[in-house]
Amino acid sequence: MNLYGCAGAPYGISIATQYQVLDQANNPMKSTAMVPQEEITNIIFNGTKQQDQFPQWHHIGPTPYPGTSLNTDTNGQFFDAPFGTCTSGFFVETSQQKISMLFKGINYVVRTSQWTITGGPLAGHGSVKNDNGDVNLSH
Amino acid sequence: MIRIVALISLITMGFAVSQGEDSDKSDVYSLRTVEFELRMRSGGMNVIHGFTQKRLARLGDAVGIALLKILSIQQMQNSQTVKDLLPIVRDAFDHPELISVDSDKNPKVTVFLLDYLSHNVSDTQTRQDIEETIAFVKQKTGT
Repeated sequence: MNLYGCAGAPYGISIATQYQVLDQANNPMKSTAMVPQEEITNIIFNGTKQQDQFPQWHHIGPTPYPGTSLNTDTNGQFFDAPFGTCTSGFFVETSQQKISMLFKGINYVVRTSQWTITGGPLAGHGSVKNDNGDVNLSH
Repeated sequence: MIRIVALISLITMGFAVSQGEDSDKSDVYSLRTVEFELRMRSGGMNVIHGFTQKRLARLGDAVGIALLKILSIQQMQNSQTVKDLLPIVRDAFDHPELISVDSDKNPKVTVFLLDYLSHNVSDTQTRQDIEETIAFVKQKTGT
């Protein structure tokens, strides 16, 4: 996982996370045939629930971040980047991210995370954590 | 960018949900994304979300169509609104190789919109910002 840029918006954090897709027996699914997708809902920014939610599947990659791609790689891994929120002042934001694998026209949900992202209290600082317990970063 | 730790998060392939969607077919003009960005970048907030950055980078000229559908004539004459939308336009063309639809790699609609805006805002600095954005878009797309 990397910290990723917050150009022009110094409060907050933006990260790159590499995921590995596993089967139900916890074995890596080494296939490039999966398309990682996400949907973001329940965005609450500084206590205000946002009107526009995104309950539709969108491709996670590719993005300008190096290593991102439309499909999983040969090991069944993929990057989600950029992920996070940056702004020009202190904030607290929560949201829900679902990740699915689009495979032969069907979305298989593989992960649901409740995220908490903060910016501040000073410029250049932020934190991000999920309720899955495997991401808890600050800078 | 600062590398702090290499982490692979493991996820399990569940077979519970099947929807078969690969895009937001109920929002073919990406109005939801662009409206959200306009609101989050307005009033000096300048809130930038990773998930919308991903989507904006794939829009290209579709961002111009979305803005035309979203903005009223009065909003197009408001210097602050125009200032707020210019970074969104830049994000939509910053990486032309990521633009999803080939025809959206040609910024025809967006340049038309920006040219209209430059003739309808009174603020000199905003007009200059618009001209710089037009130059940026043309340089990025080689047009």
